[in-house]
Amino acid sequence: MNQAFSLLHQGFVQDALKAALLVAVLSSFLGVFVVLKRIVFVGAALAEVSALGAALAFFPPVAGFLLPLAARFGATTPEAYEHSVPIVMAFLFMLLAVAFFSQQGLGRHLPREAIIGGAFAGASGLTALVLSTNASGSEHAADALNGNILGVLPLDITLLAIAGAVVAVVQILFFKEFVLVSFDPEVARTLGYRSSRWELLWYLTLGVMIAISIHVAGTVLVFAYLVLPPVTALMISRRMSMVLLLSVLFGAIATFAGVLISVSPANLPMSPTIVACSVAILLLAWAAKSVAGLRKA
Amino acid sequence: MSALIEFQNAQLGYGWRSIILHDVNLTINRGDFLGIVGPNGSGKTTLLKTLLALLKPVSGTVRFGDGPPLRYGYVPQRDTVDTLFPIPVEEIVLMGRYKRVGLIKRPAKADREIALRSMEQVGIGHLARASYRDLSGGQKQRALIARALATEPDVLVLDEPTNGMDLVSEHALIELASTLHEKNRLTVILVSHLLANVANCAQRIAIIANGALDVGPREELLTTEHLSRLYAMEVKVMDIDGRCAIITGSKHP
Repeated sequence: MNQAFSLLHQGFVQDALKAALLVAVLSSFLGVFVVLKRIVFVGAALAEVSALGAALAFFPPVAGFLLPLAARFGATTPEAYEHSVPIVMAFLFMLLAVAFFSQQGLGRHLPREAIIGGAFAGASGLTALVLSTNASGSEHAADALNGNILGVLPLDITLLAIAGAVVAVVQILFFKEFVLVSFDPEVARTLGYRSSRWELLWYLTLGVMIAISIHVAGTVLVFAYLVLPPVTALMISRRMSMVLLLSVLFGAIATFAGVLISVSPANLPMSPTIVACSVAILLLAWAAKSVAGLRKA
Repeated sequence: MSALIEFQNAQLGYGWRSIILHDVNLTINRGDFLGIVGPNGSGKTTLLKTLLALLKPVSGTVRFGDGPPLRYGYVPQRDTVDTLFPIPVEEIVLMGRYKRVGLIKRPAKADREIALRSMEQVGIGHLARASYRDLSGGQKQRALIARALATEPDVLVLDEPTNGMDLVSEHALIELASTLHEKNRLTVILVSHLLANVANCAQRIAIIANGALDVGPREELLTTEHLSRLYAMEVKVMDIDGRCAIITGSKHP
């Protein structure tokens, strides 16, 4: 463990920790709404659709079109292309998905979860298919699924921080409106709020966070952050503000523990280790709650 | 008496191909207590959405007062409100103030006082800090009514407020609606699928039957002859200790 702590002083590990903490804090906060709005699989589908957008940046016919375009904006080297265009593509695909998922009429003729499931399955399959056409496809596919936190660049952290700040400001400024529209959209409409527009804005903040985060953390970890810490917090607290605080705290603790274990001699992959730590916190909270319940009885 | 909401020859529905209610003529005056009754699927929700200005009439006109936009105190069906959210009652009641508070700002002390007063009015002042999801059905309904009152509404609209309630809670809630109407001089619209629910509290009743709206004062509408004709079955209206009781019999051949 001493070796792990000493590795924490290494620049690349510190960068990984910073990036993962940023993703954890944002996702765990938004995840509370994701769970309460019962749209857990929208989060997963958004992540997959964003990943498909990122993957398309490596699809030869699309890359052939995007390379000169990216060069015009200053991404002249392959490295610059790989660290900018996939994010932009993920962002564009996220916007399309957000516009689609935030439609209130969605699910009028078909079950909503079936449509979301279809988008999830379709995007996952297409991502794998698109990446298989690229010489380094399997490597990119692994990065898209598990993320490559240890390979994070300072530019990625800056982007995450900027996107995170924007999302946080929007969430803080319009917190009460988001709660009202999520809790009771019909009453919100009678009060004069255009529920569909507020929904769209909320989905946009979620989409921005996912599109930026999956580039760093991968779809599995982002999805885990959206679900596990919020569920743990909801199990423990019965007050919204405390749930949000605990969710962020659990996300951060799981991240710190996951990074520490990952760089220890155990040498485990970082994202799955963080997910495992989140599950461990959830199980601990559940056990503690059960024991407390038994004592009361 | 000034008309708050006025329907004139309105066809209500979701486009020309799905008109649910035909030729609706209805005037709701300030201070009215209107009961809207109709079986499930008769078009109550369509009428309600139009009343709340959430749905435009397919044809005809619907006017909403002459002054500023009406403030609705809308109490939705309790089952449509998600109980997963960990929100205390006080915060839910405060939601009724959000539009007045405005964007970005937080509710002020005055808003919290109005919210507390609304809770006390409906008898749940002591539950301010309780979590909404831990309340009983009747308490939840009162919390939603308190939220509607916190908007300081022009019209209080209650959608099936007694659904799923026991006899005592049902009676208490109807009494509460009557008290709010009388003491606060509130305009109240109560929607129910049960005629008995509105028979003893509403001054005017609108019955939806066969795609049309039959509106009139309670005394005119709630008669054995009228209801038997309207429902095409034997319906007896009786006066028991000053309260209206409605009993159904066999269907007309």
